[in-house]
Amino acid sequence: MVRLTADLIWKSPHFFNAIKERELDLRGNKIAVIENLGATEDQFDTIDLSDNEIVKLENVPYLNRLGTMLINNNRITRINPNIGEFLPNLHTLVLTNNRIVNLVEIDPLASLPKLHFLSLLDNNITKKPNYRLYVINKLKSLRVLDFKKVKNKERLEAKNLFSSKEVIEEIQRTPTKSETPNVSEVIEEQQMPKVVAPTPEQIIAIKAAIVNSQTLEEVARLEKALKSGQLPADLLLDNVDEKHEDMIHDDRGQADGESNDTQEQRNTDSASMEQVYGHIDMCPSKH
Amino acid sequence: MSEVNATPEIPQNNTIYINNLNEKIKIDELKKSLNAVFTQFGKILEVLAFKTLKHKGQAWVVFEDASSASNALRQMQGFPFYDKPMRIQYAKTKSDIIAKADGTFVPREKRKRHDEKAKKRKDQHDSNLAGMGLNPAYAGAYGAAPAIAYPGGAKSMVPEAPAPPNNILFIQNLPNDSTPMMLQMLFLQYPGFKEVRMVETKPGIAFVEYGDEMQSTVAMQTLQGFKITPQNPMLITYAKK
Repeated sequence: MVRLTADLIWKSPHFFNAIKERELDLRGNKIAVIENLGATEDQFDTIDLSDNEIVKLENVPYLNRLGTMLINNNRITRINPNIGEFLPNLHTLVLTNNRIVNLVEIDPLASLPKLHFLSLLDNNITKKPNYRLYVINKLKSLRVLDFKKVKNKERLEAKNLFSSKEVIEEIQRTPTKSETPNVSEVIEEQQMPKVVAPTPEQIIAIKAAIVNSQTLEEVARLEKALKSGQLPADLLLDNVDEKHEDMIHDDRGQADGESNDTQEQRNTDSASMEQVYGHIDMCPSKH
Repeated sequence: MSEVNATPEIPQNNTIYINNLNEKIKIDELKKSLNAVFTQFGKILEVLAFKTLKHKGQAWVVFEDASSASNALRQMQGFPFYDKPMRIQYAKTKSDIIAKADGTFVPREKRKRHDEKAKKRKDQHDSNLAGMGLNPAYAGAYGAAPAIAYPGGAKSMVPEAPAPPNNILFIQNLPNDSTPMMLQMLFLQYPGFKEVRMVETKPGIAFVEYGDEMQSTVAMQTLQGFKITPQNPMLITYAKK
């Protein structure tokens, strides 16, 4: 990690290069961040930042004279959206062997008014479908892309391809798809507590059953409670037990008969209520 | 096959030689593009490309490091550059810019060019001499003719007698300021005219050539005694063979 300081800029070689342009050579300095380029005092036609570790193309001051940037063999993944304001005469940009992945990431280059020559070789972006047509459609002033001339046929083809909004929406969705795994994880997290919830209720029901186990009738009720595994059923069963004891004390034959009928009806009601609860529980999980 | 065999024989060099380049690209743009495509392998000292017939579709790229040249040759072999696959090999000789850097530069090419120019100048001089040599002999052949014509009055009375018919006419008694163009205007109007030749060292005489004797005879008879100026009636005879 070396910082790009004014001192480094002054010490680096500057010369007339192979194509007779004034060049600043900042090659191979392990620079991680572009900064302090104002120290060049707008003296160079070409700046060579190859063989460094730059991640973002940003922090560029206003350089009216700069026409060529060579940024081979770096780790560029992002470009400043307003870069065109600071480099009005940039016509050649070489980004060979960097880490530009998505088509959307080259949109900021459209702000460069005189960009004629662009190289994106050895970036993963070149493997995207319709990569070349997308770049041609976005960068209107481009003449040469990846060392092939941009022909008028290609411009028209790109225009037709990207004129429909559906295609654009698909491209915009591409980043959204990358977020889908998170959404699925959230859904899974929501499902987890529901699975755990019945457990304490079941424990309570089992305890109640143990406490109340005295007669065969109670055993039958306990079995029902175990099957339902829900509090309302338990409460209803407890109430029924109390009434039963009261009636036994009365010792009335007719009263016993009537009370038996009533108990059966109540059991039926509780069963239907259980079904209703079941349906209600199912709905949220489906969503 | 011979080319393929030749390639590995060329030793490693700081300079790579590229051919099969697209010839439609302008030289300046070609150099810029070559510089842009090869900077990924190392610092480039020079890019050479020319548009002469021998050097069309070819270029040399000089790297600072030999290893850069090796990487470039290996990775960019066959790369589609302006729609044509590049053919790359090492250069056969050391580039001047490298030779100057390590002190082995010898200005051989300049001497060769100078010698070639000197030879060309000699050839031109010889051709001039050859041209001059013809004129005196030609003039000398007819230098005596007027002398022969003048002594005898009888001969001048019968000018046709001395020379047999010829497709070339010999004109005498012309004004001193006459020019080939003037005579050409006169003699051009008769069929078969070819050219007018005047002798610089002997003003007043000329030779006019026609296709054959018949044509020259017609012109001679028609223009015999024609007065370009009142004092100079033309005297026309057949030239001696």
